[in-house]
Amino acid sequence: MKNLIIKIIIFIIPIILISYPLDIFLSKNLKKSNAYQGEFEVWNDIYEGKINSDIAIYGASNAWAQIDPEILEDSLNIKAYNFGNDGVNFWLQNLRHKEYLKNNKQPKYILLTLNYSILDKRKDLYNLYQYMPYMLWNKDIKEYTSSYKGFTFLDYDLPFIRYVGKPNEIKIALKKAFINKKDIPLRYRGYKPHENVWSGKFSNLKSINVTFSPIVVEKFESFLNECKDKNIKVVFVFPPSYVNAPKYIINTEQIMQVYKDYAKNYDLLFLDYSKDSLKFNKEYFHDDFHLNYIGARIFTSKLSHDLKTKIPMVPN
Amino acid sequence: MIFTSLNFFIFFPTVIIIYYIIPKKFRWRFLLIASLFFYINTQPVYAVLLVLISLITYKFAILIEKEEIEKKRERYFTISLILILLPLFVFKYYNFFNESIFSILEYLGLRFRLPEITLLLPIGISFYTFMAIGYIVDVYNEEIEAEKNVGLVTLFLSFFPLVLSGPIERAPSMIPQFKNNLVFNYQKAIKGFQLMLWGYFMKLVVADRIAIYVNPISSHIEQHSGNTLLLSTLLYPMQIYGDLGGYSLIAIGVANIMGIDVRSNFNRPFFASSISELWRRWHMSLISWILDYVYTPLSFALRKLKMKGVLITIILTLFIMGMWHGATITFLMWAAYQGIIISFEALTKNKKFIFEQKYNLTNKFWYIFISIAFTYILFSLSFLTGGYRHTFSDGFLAFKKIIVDSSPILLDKANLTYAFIGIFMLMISELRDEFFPDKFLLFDNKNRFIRWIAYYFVFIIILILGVFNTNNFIYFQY
Repeated sequence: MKNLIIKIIIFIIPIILISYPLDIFLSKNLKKSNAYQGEFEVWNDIYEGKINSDIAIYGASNAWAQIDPEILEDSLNIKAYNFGNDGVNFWLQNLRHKEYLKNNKQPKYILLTLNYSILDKRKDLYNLYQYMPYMLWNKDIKEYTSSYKGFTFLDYDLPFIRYVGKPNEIKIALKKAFINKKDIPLRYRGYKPHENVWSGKFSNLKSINVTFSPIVVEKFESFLNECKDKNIKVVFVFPPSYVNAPKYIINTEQIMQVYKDYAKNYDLLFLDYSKDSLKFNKEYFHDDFHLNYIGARIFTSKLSHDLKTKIPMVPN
Repeated sequence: MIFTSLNFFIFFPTVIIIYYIIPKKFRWRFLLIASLFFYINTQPVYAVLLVLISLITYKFAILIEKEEIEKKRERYFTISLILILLPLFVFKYYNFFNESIFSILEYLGLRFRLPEITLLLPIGISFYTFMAIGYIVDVYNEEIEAEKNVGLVTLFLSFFPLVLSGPIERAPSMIPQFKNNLVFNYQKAIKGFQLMLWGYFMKLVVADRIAIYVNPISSHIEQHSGNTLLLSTLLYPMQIYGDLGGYSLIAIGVANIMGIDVRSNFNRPFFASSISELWRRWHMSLISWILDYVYTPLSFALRKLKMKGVLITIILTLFIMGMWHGATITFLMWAAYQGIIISFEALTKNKKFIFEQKYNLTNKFWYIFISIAFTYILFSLSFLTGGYRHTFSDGFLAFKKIIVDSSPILLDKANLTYAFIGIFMLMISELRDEFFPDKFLLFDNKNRFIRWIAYYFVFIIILILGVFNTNNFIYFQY
């Protein structure tokens, strides 16, 4: 019996000893990749403190793929960075906000891109692999992602565990480590437009009644208060979507009213493009909810013009 | 709580530590508590049913043994079988019979339907019911004495490594071990860990990797091409083998670590050279149970009919096996097909050689290929479409698509590559065991270095290629 216990311990010790260096090795190489639509590029900029911008663009894919920081910079003459994160509601956008402020200079303006479901909370952790290289012993990531179906509590605290059963991520990391080929960056300051082709994505969606999650609403309000306290000016932006888009959401009017009320109560500028003439032209769209490259350029130009006229932006 | 859950990785070491710390005489009692806790943790409500069946089995075995009047013995025996089978019938077969009788009555112009039962099937009910019946039959046939301790009977039926999906054990081999043999055995414990390691490999790397490809296809048969369905049906036997074979190895391994021997469930089924042999290598504990408690008594009863009796026995036995898997037309058709093939093999036992000589088929390749490949396709279709989700017409649609629809195949390349790495390792290991049992040994190599390299290699493959987010075993639904 004693002999068996000793053998089990001897078998386990090397695994424990190697797990931490292996974790560091895999994480370090995985984050060099442009996988998961280039989300690592944004996270790397955040954690390496490389973001030196006065305008921070927040949101989901309707920020990430629709607001070009280069146009804003050109037009407003101040630096901008797009933090849009595909498929996430405000709860996870706030995680990016928190990590951004913790590691970088705070912005002067936040353009918060709204959509109909920003205050909802989905059950699954969409695109969960984007957190893997950064999440070991990271309390913020644990706090914000552990309520989703995705990681287990061991993944946050035990080295290497989150790579178990993830051969694709291990393969990406090994490729980066041993085949020294640099990935082409997918993002420009967080921005990545959609191609100029109509994808037809979402066309099979059924109409839904969007509900708000109380904890997300609470987080949203505390975010607005935090920005107020830190003297960060928040601007609500509701980008245009194709004319068909509202048919997928039953309670659009009610949702828009909630955003208007927030803007009013917190004294925020609300730039609403939901009824903009762009919405009638399919040529500018990639799908019912997203502009394509040309559409995004036109929209960002309009947005920068409106920002210029409505609020005087001064760099820090 | 199942073998791949985090709970089990806390439960099992805790049980082992306490089990070997406490005195030997208390060990079976502790195992009983642990087993009931294990089942309660899996399906709390149905633990009552498991205990109830244990009590019925215990009580009736004693009544049968004590009774000297043959008619009364028979009566006790019949009542016990009815009581033990009743829950299985209610949970598994009631809706099938209700529906079938309704269809017949409707055909005769009568409309009478009993209400449907939509309760979840208690996990492991088919397994512990068969174990209970085996015990009662053994006592009735005076092959064993009835156990006087209700705890031991309950432990026999609820023993946690076996209760959810077998292997289907027998009282004469288990109860004496619980009574006398719960001691630590180093070699057995090492073997247990080896079996567990390989079992997890089969489950997590082979079965669950294949499942990522096959499961979404099986739930949307109508949306996929014939080629995709063909690949799924050919992969599915490997998935089931990895799933139940893996589960069985883990179960046997767990039991071995506690010093208990449990019968094997598989013996390299893909190396069978006939359908009859396939069934001697596949789910052996179920097949041997059916042979002992159904086939042998039936063939004895029908012995006067000679070859006809043999054929009737084969078909009836396979009908019961089909019904055990599920009360659906697809399972019954699959079982009927098996019955026909095995009967054919029985009838042409001597003639086949002449046939093979004539067509120069001495290695049986074509017969094996056609009969076994077709068996696997039907087997897959039965399981894929019969598992309470699809109708017979779905099975027929899938079969038709495989024959006529040649649209492009859906390939999840990365995942299929990982699955094929697992299948390749499994098949290489089985090939070695089948043809070179004493050569190229890894886990059993005398050289400790090779042994440990093999352990680490398999362990790392499990860590990298295993799928850890599925908490299910296919045979939990049977």
